[in-house]
Amino acid sequence: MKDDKEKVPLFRTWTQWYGFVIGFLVALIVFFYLFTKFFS
Amino acid sequence: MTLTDWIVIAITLIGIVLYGLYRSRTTKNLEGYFLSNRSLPWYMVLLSIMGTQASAITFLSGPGQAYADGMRFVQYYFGLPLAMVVICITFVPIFNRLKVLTAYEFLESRFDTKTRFLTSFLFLLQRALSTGISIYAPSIILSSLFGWDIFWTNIIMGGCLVIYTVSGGAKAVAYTQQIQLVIIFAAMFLAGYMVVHLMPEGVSFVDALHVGGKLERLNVITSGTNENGFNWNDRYNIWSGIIGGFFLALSYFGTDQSQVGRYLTAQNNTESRLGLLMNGLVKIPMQFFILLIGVLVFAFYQFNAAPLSFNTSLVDDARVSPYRDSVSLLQGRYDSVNKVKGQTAMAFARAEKNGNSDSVQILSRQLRELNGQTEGYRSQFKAISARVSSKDTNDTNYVFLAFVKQHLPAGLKGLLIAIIFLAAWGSIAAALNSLASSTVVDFHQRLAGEDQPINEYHLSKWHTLGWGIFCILVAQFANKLGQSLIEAVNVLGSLFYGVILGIFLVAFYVKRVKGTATFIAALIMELFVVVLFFNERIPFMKFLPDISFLWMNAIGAIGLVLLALLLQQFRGVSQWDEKSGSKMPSGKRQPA
Repeated sequence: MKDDKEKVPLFRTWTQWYGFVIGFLVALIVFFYLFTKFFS
Repeated sequence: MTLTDWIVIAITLIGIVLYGLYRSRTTKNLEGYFLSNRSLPWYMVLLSIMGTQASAITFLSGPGQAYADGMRFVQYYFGLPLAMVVICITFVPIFNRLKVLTAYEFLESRFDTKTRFLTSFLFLLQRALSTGISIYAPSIILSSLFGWDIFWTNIIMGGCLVIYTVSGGAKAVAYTQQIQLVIIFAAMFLAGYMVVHLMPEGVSFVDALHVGGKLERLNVITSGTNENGFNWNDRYNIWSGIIGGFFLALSYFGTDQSQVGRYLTAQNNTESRLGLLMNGLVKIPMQFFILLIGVLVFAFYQFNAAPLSFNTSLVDDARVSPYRDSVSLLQGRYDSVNKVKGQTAMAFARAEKNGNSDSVQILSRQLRELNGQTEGYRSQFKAISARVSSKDTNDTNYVFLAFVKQHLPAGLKGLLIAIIFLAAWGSIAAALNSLASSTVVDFHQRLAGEDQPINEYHLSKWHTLGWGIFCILVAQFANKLGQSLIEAVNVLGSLFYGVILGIFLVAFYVKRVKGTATFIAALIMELFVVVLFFNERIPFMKFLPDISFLWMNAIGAIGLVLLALLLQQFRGVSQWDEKSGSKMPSGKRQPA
């Protein structure tokens, strides 16, 4: 394995990446909730 | 099956095997065979992680699960993105810094040999059993299609798989998974399109969703509560999904060598992290889509008659049994109700389209009642089947397959059957690779001392072959499980994953707890989790509450951490660590 300089792709820090993933999960849950309500 | 289907299957499967063999040329040492010399970019890591998790069971049982129980199964994956984040923060940097070949190597440097052996043993036990089920899943396809005995079908299916896996290695596994997933996604998308295309004229995708929704199949979010409050025995709800699913995913991706081995193939921390985080983004939508296909199939069978059992061989058996007159009578009544159901579903779709809410309410109630009647007839048939056949009467795993077999056009039918093989091969290949790596690195190498790298390479191939044979033997008993295969695999994992995760949580976060306390806590908690799950079958344990399997992950992990903390307080336990020490004896392979 090569030395890792930890240049983070797309975002400035890994913390922003983690926030994005968690935010996406929350958005999915909201979408699923509305989806369930709409079709039930 | 037409000649076109057979040609599509043959070209797809032979093509993948040849591609795997072409890509199997790698350095003849352990790091080359098990970790592809840690050379892969993030997108290869992502596809390998996804290909390992998404087995044939995912594509066989997933739509069937949605058909029978709705889409709430997707909540099971809600904890996965959170687990990806935790793994990226804690697990990845440590595993990569230590340059371990298996996750369990780390436990020896942190604790002691016995804890490493125990954890590796628990992994081998559950992974081998799960892999056996994963061989059985595609085998039922062959069994159903050709009427072959499942015993021989397992041997043929597993035999082909073992040859391919032994020849491959991690590099071949990753590269074939890449091609496999592209074909799988394309074929599943086509299948989804075809279900909608085959709906009666005038029934659109949205109409089909309305039918599924009114019949409680679009229950994506459920709270798990009833009139008595929260139901701990409810399998899939938002809370069990986020909390239980988090612990399960953390354990699976953080401590199961079949997954750890995938992201250890990455070039560096960044590539490992990107692969895992992208998996956290795409896994839930992918599973949603697979389950949605199941709902569409369910809607399709509101307009068209579903068979008495999706396992058509059961119907054939019953028709030549002493109960054939009862079956004919049942079939007649079932067909009559299905005819009315089809007309009601059409009327419902029209009312929904015209915005006639009163009619929608009346017709959806009628549709629910008719579904209750057809399900009643299907249950009666299951009762007859249980008397005349030794085969499993649960047809959840056959729903999607039966639809593909009966309704899809030539060529696409062959492609969908091929993708089930591809999905199976992808996950089983990674599992056999990890079983062999854990056996060679954690047991053989550790007990026998350092061997020549070239011998270890050949030894690894023999171990892969041995595990392949063992998993085929397990597959022979998988038909006794009698439930959805996707659930069976998850239940099995949950019995072990919590404890394995607990060991790693202590290792990472509770520095003052040593090996002996962790080892004893792991033994006690593993026994407790098994007893808790099977409490109803153990006479003097019936007082324990009924808890759904997803919670076992959290109970096992948190319970182990607390118990290990408690045990560490005992003087005898801490003295044992001081006496025995926790370092590897010289001459053995040390993590860097």
